[in-house]
Amino acid sequence: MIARDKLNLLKDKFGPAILRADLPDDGRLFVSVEPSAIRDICRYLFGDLDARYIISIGVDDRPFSGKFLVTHNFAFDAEKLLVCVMVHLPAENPKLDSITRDVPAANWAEREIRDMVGVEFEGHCYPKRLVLPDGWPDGVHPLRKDFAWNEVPKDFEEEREFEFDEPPAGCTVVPFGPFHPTLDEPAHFRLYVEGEMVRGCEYRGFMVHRGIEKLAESVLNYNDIPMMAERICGICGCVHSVAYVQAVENAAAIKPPPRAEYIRTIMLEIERLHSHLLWVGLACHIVGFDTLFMQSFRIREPVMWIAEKISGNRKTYGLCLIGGVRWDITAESRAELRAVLDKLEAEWRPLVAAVLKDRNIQKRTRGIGIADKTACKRSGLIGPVARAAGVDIDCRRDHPYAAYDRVRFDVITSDGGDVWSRVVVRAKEVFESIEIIRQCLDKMEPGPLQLGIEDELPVGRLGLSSVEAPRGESHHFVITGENNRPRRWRVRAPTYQNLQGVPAMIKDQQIADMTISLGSIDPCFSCTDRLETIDLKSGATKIWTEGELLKLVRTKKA
Amino acid sequence: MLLALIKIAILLGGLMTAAAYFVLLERRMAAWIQDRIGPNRVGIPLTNIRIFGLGQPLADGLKFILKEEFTPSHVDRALFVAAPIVILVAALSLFAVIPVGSFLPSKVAGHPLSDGPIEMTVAPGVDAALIYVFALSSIAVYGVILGGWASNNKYSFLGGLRSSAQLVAYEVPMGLGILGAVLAAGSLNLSEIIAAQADRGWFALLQPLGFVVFSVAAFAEAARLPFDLPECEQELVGGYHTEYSGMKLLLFLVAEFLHMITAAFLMVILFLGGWHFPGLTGSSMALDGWGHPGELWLWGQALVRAGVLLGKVFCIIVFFMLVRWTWPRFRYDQLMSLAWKVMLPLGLINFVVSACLEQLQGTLGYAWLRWVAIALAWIVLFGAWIGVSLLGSVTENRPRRPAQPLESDLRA
Amino acid sequence: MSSVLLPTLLLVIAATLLTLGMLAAGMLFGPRRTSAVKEMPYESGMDPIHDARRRFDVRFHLVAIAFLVFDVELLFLYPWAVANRTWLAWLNQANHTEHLTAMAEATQAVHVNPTLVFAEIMVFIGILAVGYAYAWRKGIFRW
Repeated sequence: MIARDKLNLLKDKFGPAILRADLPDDGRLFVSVEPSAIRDICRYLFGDLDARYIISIGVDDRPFSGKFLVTHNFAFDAEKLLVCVMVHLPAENPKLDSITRDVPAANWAEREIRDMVGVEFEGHCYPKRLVLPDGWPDGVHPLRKDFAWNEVPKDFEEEREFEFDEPPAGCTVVPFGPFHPTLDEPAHFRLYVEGEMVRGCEYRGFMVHRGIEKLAESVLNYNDIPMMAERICGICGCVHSVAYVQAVENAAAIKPPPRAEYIRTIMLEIERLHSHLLWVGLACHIVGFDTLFMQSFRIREPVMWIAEKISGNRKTYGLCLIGGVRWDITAESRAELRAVLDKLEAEWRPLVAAVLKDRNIQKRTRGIGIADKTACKRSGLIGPVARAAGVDIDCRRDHPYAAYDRVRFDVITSDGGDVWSRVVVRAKEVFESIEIIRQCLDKMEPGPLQLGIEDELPVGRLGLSSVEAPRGESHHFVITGENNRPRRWRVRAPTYQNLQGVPAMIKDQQIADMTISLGSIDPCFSCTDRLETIDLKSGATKIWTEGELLKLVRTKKA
Repeated sequence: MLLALIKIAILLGGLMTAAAYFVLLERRMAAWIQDRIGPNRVGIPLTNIRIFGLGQPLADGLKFILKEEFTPSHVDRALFVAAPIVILVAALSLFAVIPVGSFLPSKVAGHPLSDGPIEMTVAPGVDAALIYVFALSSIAVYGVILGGWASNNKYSFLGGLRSSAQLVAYEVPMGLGILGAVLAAGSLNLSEIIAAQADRGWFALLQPLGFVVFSVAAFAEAARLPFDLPECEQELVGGYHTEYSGMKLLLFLVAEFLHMITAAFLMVILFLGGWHFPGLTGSSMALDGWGHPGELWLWGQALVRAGVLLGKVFCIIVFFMLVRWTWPRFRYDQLMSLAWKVMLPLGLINFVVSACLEQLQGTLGYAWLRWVAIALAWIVLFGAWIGVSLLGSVTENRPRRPAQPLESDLRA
Repeated sequence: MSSVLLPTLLLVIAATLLTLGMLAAGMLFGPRRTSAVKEMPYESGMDPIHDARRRFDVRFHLVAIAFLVFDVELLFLYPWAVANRTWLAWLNQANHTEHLTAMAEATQAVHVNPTLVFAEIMVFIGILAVGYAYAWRKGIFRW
């Protein structure tokens, strides 16, 4: 009855501003409110009730209700509740009060809505272009329904450059990325450096837009999307596909069979295993310890092999469908998985000991890249970053999904809030994951893998799903729609929030600590870059030949 | 003149080959430590014979020759080309005074080769040899800073500044370590320093603290991990050689490897007894020490000495490589505080202690004082060790600020 | 030219020739393909913003000065370090080797009191240590 309690609190305080409420089950609360009250309500939820900010979503709902829809999603982790505060805005000149003054974590989300859907946020603290490419004309919003998925705006300016802010006086600008040895994916940090100290930075990311959400809303259908969702991220793809499928299941009130839930849990944990092993390796590489980098990749490899054995692929398992999974875990792969886990545990222990006892690693990471509890709350930091600061959140326990309510595990926390604590948290989470998989293998009963869904899914329902990715909570929001596809699907990858905490982490630190601080959130830029329909420079879905590319490179700035 | 030219040819050939094959050795060792296979494919061309990848260095060299010799237009052209030349020439010329053994006999099968025994040094008898080594190794700083400056690139510039500051900072503890050895030997001539050790015991034994200080400084001067900040790609991409490619980059890389080889030679010559090995090589500088100056015996003895010295150098280099794959890198401020706040005072302590002990022995002249001195030196070493670990908080750098909300954070 | 300097000079020349030869080989055999972007300084893939040679941290300057101070003062110690053994051996005949005696005889004309010089050196190092402590307190080594 938590959801009803919260609703009553809101009703008592704001009364007439609460227009409509929907409580599909005890873990979800959808409240539709007056646009004028949105700032007060969010301040109340975020400040007084101490909710965690998740994401804001903009929807062009004009073809259906004639209005724009903006939602702010919050989580009450201790009470296992996800809240979605919705406002409907007029079709002409949509405007809304910005909540960034009270909820700083909403900074990016509101800017993204402004870029993509064209809702103006009044009083936003930093209303600058976030997602759209440099040459994109102002006033064209690709996520509006009247904008075709393959359209190229006519006045796309190839030569227009992004306008960066002026650096503070006395600071040199040191660019970091998009092509930098430590960045595996393109993103640009413009560091303001004074001597060896970083005094601030500006971020320009979203460089590899793939328009995944737009494609899902215009071209794909319900069961295509999990395959696309998996390709959002190179590491935690399964997370996105599970989160999407669960959001749809949540909207349509479908419950997958238990065996499917166990298999999803196992695959998610396999993914966490190889992601954490990868991250510890990379962190060692960043501090110049290549031996542990190689060792942790060696230890990681059997995990990839067993994933291939189960799903046919090292990555992109193609696991999920609405209402079930596509692969079974056979008796043979079960035995092999157990053997892999035993070996992994035996090999991981000495490696963790080597990392945790190394004084040089400690010196390089202790007190570096600090994000304490306040910073986590302000910027909405999640996952190992938050847990390392002592914020005890984990969607697997707080918003149980799949089979996580049937297994026992500890949520690892630490209290340093620095890079070191993040190393410790991730290193220990590996053991928990191993335990979770073992329990799943024990408890899994034979049974069907998929639910037979005969009817079309209901239209216009809202679904929320939070899945604990290796990097933190991955939050998916779905509005079901016609033509066997969702009307709107919004992916909030963990890195989207965690990246917003990076400028505070690196400020007043040495430039040398920049890489490990950034690395410590395990950034996954591809997760955040999933929106644009159009190739950044070419303007069309054109495939460049090698010769053309060379020509392009050579003529630029000639 | 002819003799010198032959020596130079052997020396340069040997050094370049050694640098190439140490790269292979390093990669194979890395592979061994990291449970990988490593480069094992390249053998004799056009056959399937692999011989453990021994062809790899040749293939690498060939590849570098076939790379584009590219000078970007935004650089200071003259300095850009001069930097790698300066650094490599200095690194090679430094070996003029470094002995690779003791003497070769003057005769082969009765035919005289030279007037007297041939010293295994290009320029024998340089009295200020150590000063020469010191001076030339300092020239590396010029190469680094020239390269960084000429590149006209932010990463190069910052990298060049950092590297030069690092090299300069560790020159002081290095000088202090050398000073201890000079004090104990009473000479700047490297052959005489070895002879003094053959006579009175290795200086690593007499001045363990000096040896430690010198070794750490030598690691830093050779820019080996954990001191490889100059080329720490995670922060400053390629450091001062970011803009370099092709043969010019190769010159930098070879110079870096030569710095490591030099460091190994100096550690062996100054502290580990050079060609001396108890019971194997005799202890006096001249070869006829054991009263059997038969020619064959002389040649054998000469080769054993050279073998001992080179073997020690090889062990030190392997140690360098082991360290590289066993430790993470320091951060820049940690590196600097280690130089100034730890190594410099330790070097001073070592110098004062060994000077006092030396003086005491010299003035009083009791034979047993020698053992007391050795014991005291080791006590000082362990005292210093304990002191450094206790005072860790003093040498640690700046306290970190707590995270605070800042207006500019919202710009992300 | 003396027998000491000639081989050294020869080595320097040979090393220079070797280096230049390597560069020349690269120039002869390497390909040449240039392009506008290739000519740009590498700045992580962004177009370069303002000149690279800008103000840099003043601490580099402090390090340079500290290096000059300590390294030059160390150089003053070298002559003493070389000579001291000879003086001591000459002072203490019981403890000498033949080699050292010869050198001691050569320096006998110079009347030195090794103990006095030693005391002077210690005073010198004491002053250096005071300077070091001062520099530390002033925060020169804080990075």
